[in-house]
Amino acid sequence: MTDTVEKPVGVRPDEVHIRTRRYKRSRSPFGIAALILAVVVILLIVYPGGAMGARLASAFTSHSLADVFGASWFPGMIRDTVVVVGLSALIAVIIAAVLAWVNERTDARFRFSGVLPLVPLFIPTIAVGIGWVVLGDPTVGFLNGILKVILAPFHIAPTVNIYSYPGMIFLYVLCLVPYAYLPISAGFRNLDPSLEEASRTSGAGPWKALRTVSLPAIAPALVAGFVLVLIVGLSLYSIPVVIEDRPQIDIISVRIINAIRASYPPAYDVAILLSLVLLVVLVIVWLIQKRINRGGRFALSGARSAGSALTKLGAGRWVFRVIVIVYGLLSTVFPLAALIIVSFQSYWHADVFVGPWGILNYQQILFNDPIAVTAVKNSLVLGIVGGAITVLIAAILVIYARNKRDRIGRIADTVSKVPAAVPHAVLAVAFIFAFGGPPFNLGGTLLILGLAYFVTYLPYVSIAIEPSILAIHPSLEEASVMSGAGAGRTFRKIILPMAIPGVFAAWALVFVRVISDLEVSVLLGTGSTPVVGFVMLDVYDQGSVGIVATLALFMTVITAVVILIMLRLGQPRWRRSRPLKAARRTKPAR
Amino acid sequence: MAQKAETAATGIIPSARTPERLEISNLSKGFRRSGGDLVGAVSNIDLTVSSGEIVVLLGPSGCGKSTLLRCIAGLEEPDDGRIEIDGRVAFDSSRDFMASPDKRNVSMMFQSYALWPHMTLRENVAYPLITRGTAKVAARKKADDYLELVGLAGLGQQYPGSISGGQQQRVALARTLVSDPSVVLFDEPLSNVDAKVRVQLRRELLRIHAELGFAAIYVTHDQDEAMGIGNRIAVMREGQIVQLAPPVSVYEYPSTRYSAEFVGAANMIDATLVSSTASDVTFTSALGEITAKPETVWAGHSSVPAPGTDVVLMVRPEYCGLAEGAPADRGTANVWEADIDGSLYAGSRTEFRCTAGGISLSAWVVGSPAGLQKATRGSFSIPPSAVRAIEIGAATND
Repeated sequence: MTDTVEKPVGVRPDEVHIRTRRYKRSRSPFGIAALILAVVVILLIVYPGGAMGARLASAFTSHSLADVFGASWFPGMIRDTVVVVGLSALIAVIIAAVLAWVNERTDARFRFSGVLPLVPLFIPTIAVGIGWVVLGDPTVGFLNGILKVILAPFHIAPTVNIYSYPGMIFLYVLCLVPYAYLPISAGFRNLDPSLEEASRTSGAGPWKALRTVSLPAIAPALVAGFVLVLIVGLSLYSIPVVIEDRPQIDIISVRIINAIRASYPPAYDVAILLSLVLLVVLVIVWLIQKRINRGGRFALSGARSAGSALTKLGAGRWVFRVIVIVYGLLSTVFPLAALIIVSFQSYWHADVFVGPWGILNYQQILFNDPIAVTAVKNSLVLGIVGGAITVLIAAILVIYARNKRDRIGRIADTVSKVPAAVPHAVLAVAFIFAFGGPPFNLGGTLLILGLAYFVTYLPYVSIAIEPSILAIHPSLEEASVMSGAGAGRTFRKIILPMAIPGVFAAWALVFVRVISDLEVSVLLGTGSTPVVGFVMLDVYDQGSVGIVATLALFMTVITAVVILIMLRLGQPRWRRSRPLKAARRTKPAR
Repeated sequence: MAQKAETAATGIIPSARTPERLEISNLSKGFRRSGGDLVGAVSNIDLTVSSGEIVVLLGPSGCGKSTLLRCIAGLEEPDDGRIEIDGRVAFDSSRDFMASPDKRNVSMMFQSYALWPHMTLRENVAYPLITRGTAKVAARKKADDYLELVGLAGLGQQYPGSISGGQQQRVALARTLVSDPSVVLFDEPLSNVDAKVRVQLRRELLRIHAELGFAAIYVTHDQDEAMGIGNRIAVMREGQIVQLAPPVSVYEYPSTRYSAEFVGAANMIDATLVSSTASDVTFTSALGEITAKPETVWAGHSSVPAPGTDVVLMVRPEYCGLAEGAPADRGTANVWEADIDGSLYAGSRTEFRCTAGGISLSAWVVGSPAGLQKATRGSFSIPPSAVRAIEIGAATND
């Protein structure tokens, strides 16, 4: 995006403006504000990075190195992490590719099939995790209860056990699919359908066309999806933290957080060295991706011809519809249903159809647990207010980087995307070092939580709103400037209103992320500044699954309501007048 | 009279200010290709636009006309030179000064209409007034007046998405003019609408210009549009103005081969001056002897060259004649026998391609002469008053 900034209209894309000198031009108040914001954002990211680096240097003692790399758990942890994350990333990419292909290129798609794979993004991951614990616990899991009833006449008693490698990988896959689905479906969407059609008219069947033409052509999207899934998978914490204890599967992200959270005094050196391992792996993955994409033999895109034919699957399309629906059931419907049921059980037991029922869990949270109530309040404030601020700042930075041929704007734009590649636990650790102690002493405040959320989720927000802002044709902005409006007015009156759908979608996204965040919340939250993630893990550690499930359900319902409101508000009013077009056109101008 | 009545009806009164609305001197701007070589988008431009005048920048894509327009608007930063708008400096490289676009009192109409879809037509048109501090009620009133002026009375509450492309462009015009800017900039405003609407809008634009008398720069690559709209046309090539003159002069007396060919079809004949007297000018060429009239052939040139000088002669094909059969008398001035290579029927005329004396020539004949279309040979004639000398001596390029 930065390299498109400077191309003036009417100039060939390979030409860029050269400046022989810089003219005195007074900065508008908006320009000054944007500059200050850009500097603040750069500092908020660079400073913790530096603090982490400084701390890292002191962590390189033979003692702490041996503590980590020489530890007996280290090889096992690497093995478990590689197996779980690697396998689930692979499976998630395959499933996402199938879902994306079905939805973008075949006639098997149906009304909501394109949205289904994305729904899990808007549900707190821990809700899915706990929902499946409730379903798949080997003794009191609902699935086992149901299976026992159904299979009783056959005298077989298979047991579903979510606390296992397959169980863990299954949950990882459920959570990772949406992340792979985004780039891969975009890849299929941008794929020139005439490539596929050419293969079909050359005598290839739908399968051969898919295998020989479509898949190789979207290879970069597949690679991008895989890399994204690896990054998310390696930093995923909410799934292993609810599963890993029982089967003793040792995942690095849990190790990092437990080094601080579950040991006294906090083993910062361990956390920091493990973070380094994670970062190195991510950098290597990123370099490999760059190398693969540099080949440039991927013929992508071309404008989609109008009414491009979808691959006809015949009766086979029902097979794919079932796959899409099953994914929707497993990732969303089943776990949420389990949460609802368990929240009304007086105590957790496997028999779904028999009481005793009650609202004990709700009473417990609402009346006996002031910390939980405060946590919900804190999370809501941070999610809504902090989210709004994040969206606003991200929007200003995107505009700033696009308009000003300003180095600081471009640096801010690039730097603000860096945290996307850093595991959240690592970010939180860096924030502890940077702002937890003197001179800032922000440890145990809501401010440090807010700042950490801001930095953590800023990249997601800028990536989410960037398209809707860049889609605003530059002439619309220029028309405003030519009408005598300054940069601030243009931003308020033209850009923000036009980017409304993107702005609200990004706000909804950051809200969900903040509400369902665990890593930052657990590391930076305290008993006096509780947030939902912090409280949920606390309660889970105490073993009250019913209450955790109720809390998770609470969060899911609240996020669903807030998201629906936001998406509703995000619908532009002016588009509703569109249908008039045909009627008006027949009327003579004068 | 009719115009005056309309002015009174819409309540819009043209303003009177200093005659020079825009003065550009020595303006340059370059772009660097990724390969590293410098491309002069605009170099050493001098241009003045007076009150009530429309100057058209005409040239192919990439000639720098849009860059020049955007430099005037303040959307591009020139490398060198000076721009003065209504007597106020907008850009001056010698003083390192550049005024931002919103401080220049120029307005611009964009190729893409650039209407804001989230605002009603009235809000769109009122916006330039509100940004400049006009009270809301007064701004709305004036916006309605201008919507009426462009023929969209009563549509103020509509959104841009609900009206046609031609109507959108009218709204864009109203928004461009509403703030009574010193200079109005048009960036190919009609190239997005279909041919019929374009002709209609061009007529409307001229009517409104006659009413309001604004000064304007109008960028286009369409020579018909340039001819119809401009008081003067600046033919641009590779970042420079090669000719700046009223439309008739540009078409009839092009100063260079480039502008001759850009504004219409042209026959080019290399020739050598034999003699030039007060009544006749004679050249020799591959065709043979060519006679011309001194008052037309030298128009636009400061002096008459010496006999023996090489020149390029230009004749518009619509002035050339083509008749069946060989010339009656081989000695008749400016008539030659020619091979007819082919013809192209273009409705109002038929365009014939001929060869005479080894030179390709073209003649446009009114209608569809059946005899000529079948013939392979004919007599090609050039009236002496249609001959123009456009390049004189070896010093000129091309």
